[in-house]
Amino acid sequence: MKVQDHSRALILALVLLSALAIAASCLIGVTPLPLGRLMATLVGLGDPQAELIVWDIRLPRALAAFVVGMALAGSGAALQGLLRNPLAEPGVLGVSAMASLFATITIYWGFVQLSPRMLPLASIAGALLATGLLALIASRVQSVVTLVLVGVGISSLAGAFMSLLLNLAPNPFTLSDMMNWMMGSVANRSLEDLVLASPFFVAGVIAIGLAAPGLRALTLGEEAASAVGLDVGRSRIWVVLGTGLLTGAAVSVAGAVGFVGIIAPHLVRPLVGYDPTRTLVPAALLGGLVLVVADLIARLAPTGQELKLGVVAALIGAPIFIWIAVRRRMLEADQ
Amino acid sequence: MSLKLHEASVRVHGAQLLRDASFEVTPGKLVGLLGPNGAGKTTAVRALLGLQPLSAGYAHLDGQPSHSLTPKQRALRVSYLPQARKLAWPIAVREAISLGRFAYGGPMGRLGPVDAAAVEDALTRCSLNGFEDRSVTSLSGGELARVHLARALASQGPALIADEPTAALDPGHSFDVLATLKSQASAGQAVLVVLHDLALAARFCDEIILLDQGKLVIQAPPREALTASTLANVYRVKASWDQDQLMLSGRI
Repeated sequence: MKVQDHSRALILALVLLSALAIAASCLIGVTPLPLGRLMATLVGLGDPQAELIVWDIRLPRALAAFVVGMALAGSGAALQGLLRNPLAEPGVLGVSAMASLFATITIYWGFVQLSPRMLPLASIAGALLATGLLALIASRVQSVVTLVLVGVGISSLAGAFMSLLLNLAPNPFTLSDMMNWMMGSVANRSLEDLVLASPFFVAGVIAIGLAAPGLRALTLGEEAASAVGLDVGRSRIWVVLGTGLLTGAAVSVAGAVGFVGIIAPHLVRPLVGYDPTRTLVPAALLGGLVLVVADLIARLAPTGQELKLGVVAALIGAPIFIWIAVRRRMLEADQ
Repeated sequence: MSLKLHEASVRVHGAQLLRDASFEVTPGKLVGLLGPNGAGKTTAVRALLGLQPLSAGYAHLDGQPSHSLTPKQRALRVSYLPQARKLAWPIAVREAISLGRFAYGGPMGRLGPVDAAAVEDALTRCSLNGFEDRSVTSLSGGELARVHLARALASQGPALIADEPTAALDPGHSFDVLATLKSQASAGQAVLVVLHDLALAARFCDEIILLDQGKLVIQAPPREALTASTLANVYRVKASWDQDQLMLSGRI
């Protein structure tokens, strides 16, 4: 089997496709917007109606989907490199579950009414709590399996509390609010929502960037990676921290959206020669593209109520996830 | 560059894996680390590298305490080939070998022309020309062992430690690996190799370090270290020397 690297061409193609998808999201909708009006609006010469549609509704929504997809897919690719397992994702370490739990708590006790910023702040706090705990443990234990098991524990605990809250929800309105959050959506997001989360996205990207070259060495396994000069413990901490920040920020913008973090890296990997470091950037771009398209499908699907982004992502993603899992079993059986 | 273990003891969860073991590997020699299963060979190697904390004694690499070195400093002094051979992703052969130059890389892991030349040299020395773009998971056991060896050669450090590099290799490939290690030693590297095949060790090694139940039995040239009586005591096998060849003839 020959292995080849097409990462440059791939990144270029994904950037172009993403720009096209975001432009399409701005053009298509209940009120059609011709290309000329969109262009005029983007350079500040549009009419008030077009300005409203583009700047307040469609562009923030498309950008939110893109940024969330990038954050989740980038986190997934980084975790997979660290854990050397293509089925790892932000959910594995319990970070998204914790972020969702904290968001749910603020809805349940009505803290959201205090300030519109409560919800994002809470989910970031939840993600940081989970990652802080993991970083503390990561520096003490040598085994990645232990780390994953701790993550599974955190995830289960957060899930149990979430079910408890749903179980005891005082009224149908709270219940429906919480369900919305758990299903994941980028509807009605504003540019301010993105700006609020942006410091966390930036910090997360820096942390993952610091860990990036080491992911390549980890292909050899931890002992040999350390033998070629990698500080394995430090890489682990950067990845866990970066993943926590990116996932927390993503959950704060869009709620729980699953499977992007597994699927995007998986599709990109053969095109970059399976190198875990080169997988990062194209996987993030593809994750963004996938969520922009999924959101377009959610908006345009002829259903009475608008579909939730998380539902569309799961409907596309879960079957692919099963396919990857089964295929991996078969490959392992071959060896 | 010398590798030195001095009265080193390792205790893990109450089990004594190494007791007062002392030995030294000096440049220009191919040294075989031998002993029955569970004798503490891998523990000794990891202790030497500072990867395994000692309960007593010390380990020095080039006169410096091993545990005080950062992974990068260690990698620049010693190329280490651990037992685990499985690669997580089907990357290309050339990229797997390039990982031997990881410690030389810049902040973003970029490698320069010197590194490329070292990788090219290692490829040739391990007869891997023509395999550069093959995926590492599509290789046979012998080919993969050569890739790992090439990775260790590519780092061009002053010392090399290989933990059972001939495990699961047929005799022909085992000879090739040992011949390559021998030429590294002749070129001035300090080479320590963990082996199970006594005859192979007797044939290629300049010196033998024999461990048994965590203790050093002897460090000496093969003829003196692997005598019939020592092998009877340590391995419980019948052995005899026929000129320069060690023959094993069965269990005692």
